[in-house]
Amino acid sequence: MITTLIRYFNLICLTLLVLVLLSFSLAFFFPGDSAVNLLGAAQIADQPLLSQAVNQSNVLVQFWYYVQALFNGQWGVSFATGKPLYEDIMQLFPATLELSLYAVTLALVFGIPLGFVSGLQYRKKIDHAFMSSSMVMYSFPVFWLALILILLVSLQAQWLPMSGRLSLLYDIPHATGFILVDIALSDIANKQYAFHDAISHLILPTLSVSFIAFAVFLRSTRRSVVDVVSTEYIKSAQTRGLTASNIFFKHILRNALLPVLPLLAVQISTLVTNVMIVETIFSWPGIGDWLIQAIYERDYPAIRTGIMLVAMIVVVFTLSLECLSQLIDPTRDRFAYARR
Amino acid sequence: MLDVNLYDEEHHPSPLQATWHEFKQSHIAVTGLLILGIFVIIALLGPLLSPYDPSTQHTNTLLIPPAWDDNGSILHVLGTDALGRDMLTRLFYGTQITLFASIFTVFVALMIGMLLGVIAGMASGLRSSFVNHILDILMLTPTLLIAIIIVAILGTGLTNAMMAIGLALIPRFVHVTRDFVRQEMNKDYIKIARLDGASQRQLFVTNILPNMVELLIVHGSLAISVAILDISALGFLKLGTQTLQPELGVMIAEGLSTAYIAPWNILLPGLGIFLMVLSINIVGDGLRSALRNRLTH
Amino acid sequence: MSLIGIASLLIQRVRSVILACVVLGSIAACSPSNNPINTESGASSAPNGVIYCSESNPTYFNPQLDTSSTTSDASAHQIYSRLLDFNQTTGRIEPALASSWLVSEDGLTYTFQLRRDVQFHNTDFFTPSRNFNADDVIFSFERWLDPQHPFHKVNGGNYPYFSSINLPSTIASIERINGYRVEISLYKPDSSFLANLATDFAVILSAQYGDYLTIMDQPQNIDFYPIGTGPYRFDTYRKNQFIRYLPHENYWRKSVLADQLIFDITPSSSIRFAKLITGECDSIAYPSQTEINIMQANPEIIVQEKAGLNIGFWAFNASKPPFDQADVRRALALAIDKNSILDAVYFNSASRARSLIPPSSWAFNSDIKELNYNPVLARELLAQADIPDGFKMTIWAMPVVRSYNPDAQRMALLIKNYLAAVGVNATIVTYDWHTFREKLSQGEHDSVLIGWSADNGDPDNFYRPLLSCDAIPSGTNRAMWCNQEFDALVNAAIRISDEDQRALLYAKANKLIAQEIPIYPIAHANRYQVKNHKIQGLIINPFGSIRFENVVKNDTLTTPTTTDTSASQQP
Repeated sequence: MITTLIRYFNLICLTLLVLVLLSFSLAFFFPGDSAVNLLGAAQIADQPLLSQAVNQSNVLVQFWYYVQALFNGQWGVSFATGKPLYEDIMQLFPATLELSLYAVTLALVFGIPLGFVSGLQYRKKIDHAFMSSSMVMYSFPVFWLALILILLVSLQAQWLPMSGRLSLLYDIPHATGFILVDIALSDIANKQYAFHDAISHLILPTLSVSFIAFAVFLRSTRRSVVDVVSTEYIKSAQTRGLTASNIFFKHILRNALLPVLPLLAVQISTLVTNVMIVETIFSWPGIGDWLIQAIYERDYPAIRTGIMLVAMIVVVFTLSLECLSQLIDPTRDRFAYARR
Repeated sequence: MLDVNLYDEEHHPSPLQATWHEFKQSHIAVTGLLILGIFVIIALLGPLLSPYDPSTQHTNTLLIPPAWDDNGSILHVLGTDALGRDMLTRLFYGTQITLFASIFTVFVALMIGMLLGVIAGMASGLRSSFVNHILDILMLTPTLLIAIIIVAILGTGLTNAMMAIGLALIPRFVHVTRDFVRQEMNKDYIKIARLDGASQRQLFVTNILPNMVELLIVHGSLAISVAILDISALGFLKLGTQTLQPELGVMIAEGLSTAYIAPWNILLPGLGIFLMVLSINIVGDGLRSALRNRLTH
Repeated sequence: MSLIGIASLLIQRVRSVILACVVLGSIAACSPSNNPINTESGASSAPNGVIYCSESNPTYFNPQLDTSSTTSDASAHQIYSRLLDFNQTTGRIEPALASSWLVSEDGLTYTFQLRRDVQFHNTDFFTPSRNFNADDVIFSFERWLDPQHPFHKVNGGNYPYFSSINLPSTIASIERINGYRVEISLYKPDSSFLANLATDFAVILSAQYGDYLTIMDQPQNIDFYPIGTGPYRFDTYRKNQFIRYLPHENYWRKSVLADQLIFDITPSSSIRFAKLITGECDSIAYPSQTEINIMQANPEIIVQEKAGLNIGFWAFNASKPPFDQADVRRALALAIDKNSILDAVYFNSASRARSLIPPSSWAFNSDIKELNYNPVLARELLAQADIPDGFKMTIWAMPVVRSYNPDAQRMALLIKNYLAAVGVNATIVTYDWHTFREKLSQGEHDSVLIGWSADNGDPDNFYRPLLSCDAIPSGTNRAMWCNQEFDALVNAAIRISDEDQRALLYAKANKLIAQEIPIYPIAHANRYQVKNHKIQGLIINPFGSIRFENVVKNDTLTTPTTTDTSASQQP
């Protein structure tokens, strides 16, 4: 167990190092001067370590200072906003996390139970219905889905707003960055209106992201349930005359859930792509919308830092999930994604 | 079946025939294959079928709704866009660009991935964990991030978008191939061939590759649906194909400016992408269960 | 954590209508104003304010530095006041910070009596200790007038509007007579002088704030954390997201102000339109022409329309061969069909432009000879000028929507097609708005689709900023065309005040433009303003940028027509 932990810890560290190296080298690959790509619009006094990194002649020494600068929050200054990237990102990142969190939760809460239903009703009507509708669901291009939702729900029915996190009339101070928590912490009058408004802004983006994730979770769970049910030990349990509920709770539930965990890990990268696209469509002020704006404006310092951070988070999440499932079930193959 | 075969026990269908036989059993899968076939025909013959040139601007007929609408015109069956370009024509050309770009990307990624996977799988000593890590990182990185990096370095364009998507797909194929090759290498028939003195290369070409083809087809077909979604998403975000070229995602992005008064400008290209992806998924799924059924029977 | 937040919220509100709304997803049915609980308790409901969806980020919060309407919309009439204003309905000059003024008989000396008890904004970044007086006027004028002024070079030192009309070399001196009286002397009479002081650009800054920033060693903040005497004070600006203004409690005019004023920065025209429909915007910048009809049919949206004092044109870069030859410019102009462009881009909401000046101006002359679509003649002229078949040129299409050109990209595509028919191979170039204008000023373009909206009612506001030699370095002469004869005509025209005599000179100038075609006029677009019916007091400002003074949102208003209940409620 400890060896697994250490191995994954090493793996994460090594991967993060590779990502930092990659972001550093991006400054040289991007068009223009590498020093400008690192610093952005920064004044030397604001970001001393990063400026020092730029002034070194030896690339290795440069890299060393760059790593130090990253640890000290000196990430350069955005060309587009003229603000330190650290500030920008800290403000945007919780918004992305919030959206992803709700979307994944929603997808899990519905996807896994329905996956069980479908798996236990293998090749019956319900199973077929679930399988074909989930197939339809995950064939949707996420941007098209979001646009259709906007056209129908926001423009035709005028039920829900179509952009942003909260009506701009509410001036909620930035505390945690999670809008619902921030509203709870703030001291504005009539909080219920603010909550109401925030939730109505959340619904459509969350639905768009979780729609596709839900279908994938449902299918993975169902597959895994089907696999477990067809194993010898379930059959023998049946022949031993155990009750259906006993078999389900004692044997199927745990064994079917285990392989789902690493499947979640594989989904993270798709999920991040979908969240980024949905953010641009709903003008959700998160890291995805910001990164895509950055590429339109050729804001290289922002692209360099933003990409590194998003990739880091994806890697840390995925590997932690991998590690977790390895700890729970050490017999499993290490790289499960190949088997999808 | 009514046709009488007296020598039934003599008939051994080839694996492909057997798979096809299983595949045929599912009506949904066959329907999916038919729809996919229509898309392929459209993509191949699009330029011949289409009534107009995709970039001709009919300035007298802007934003004409599809023909079934009261204000529609039979001259433009699926209507026109804000520049008066014929929607049907652009959908034909768009299908061509989106579908073929995806197939080509997947093909190249599959070749490279297979090559790397075979090398990793057959050279047993060369289990370099570093290479594995690099592949894993690449596999974990969202396609959109890779695309942003490539666009930032090389600029926008269909080729660059294809490159980004290809890069994101390669590790999948490496994993699939490597695991498969490793499994097979431990099987008895390979050991026998080895004992007979077959070289690594002969082993691969005569023994492993034929068994791998179906697996690659299944994974390849599913990868095509992923590639279509990604290429159109990049086009939609203006990071891939540039305007002027009627790629389906780009068409949706262009239709945005008139989405409210001319929703067909975003609904039709989106429907195209959706049906294309759906039919490929159905076919891929059908293939997969056909394979599974064949092996269990 | 936040999930717990939702849960506790839900428990709190179990009996309230809100829960039912969230659960059923039918939020429309429970808009706060319809909620009986709130009206009974009498508590104030959701916050009130006006949300204007603007099209882009302002470059500065000071219109002195930038002629872009994005900058002046966000600052000129919200944050600042001027000495003089144009009346919004009559267009006449009326007193603002100057309560009265005197012009000497020779037309060379202007004396302004200043208003007393005018307070500057009190914000969290600056607390003024004195009221507005003559020092502020001198500080504001000398900033752009005097190259030695400590603030002249701050944030670029470029004052495009003033240099395009050559105002710095018109003004001889500006003197403080006493605390509330200022005297400005000119070198030569200028009939457009007072009008220029009433434009968006002649705003009054705070001299005390300037001193404070000098001490703090942050002079650049003067244009980013603005202090003025206008109806609203600056609160927050987040690039690409929003600008928040709060009312100026001690505003010198007796005006009704909204609780807050918000500029929601929404670059895409279709999204602005969609947000107007969903009620997320109360008014939007540059409504797209294609959508005006739909808005007119919507009972919740009010569309206002007015003939615009503007011109959308195609400018050729006359400093670059072969566009320095008038015949080449004429050939290109002959190759395009203006009428179809008017249909496809303006959707009949514009009139065909025949000269630089719209027909409503007194300087317009109807006998101007106009070019008609003639590709055959265009080919002949091109052949005569030795332009080979397949000649390559660029058409720069501006990336933003302006009333004078709602869709430059589409117009460029159409023109590209027309040019292909006469054997010219055009490529369309575009950048983000800031880079675009920077590169234009450097003359990197072959031709550009752009335009101009009048800042005041004087015809001079078209001629000198757009085509005079002085306007090349200041970056408003997009044709890079410098013609001594033309300059002499328009300079003579501002020295006399008699309209008939001036009209004669402008007629000559019009003729010259028609001969030389440095720019090819395309359209005078109507101006539209759209707003939610709950917004009161917003009218089209004939000259210059939008004004939110006296604009409020009345939340108690219900939908004008009650026939369709399902679509009429607001989220």
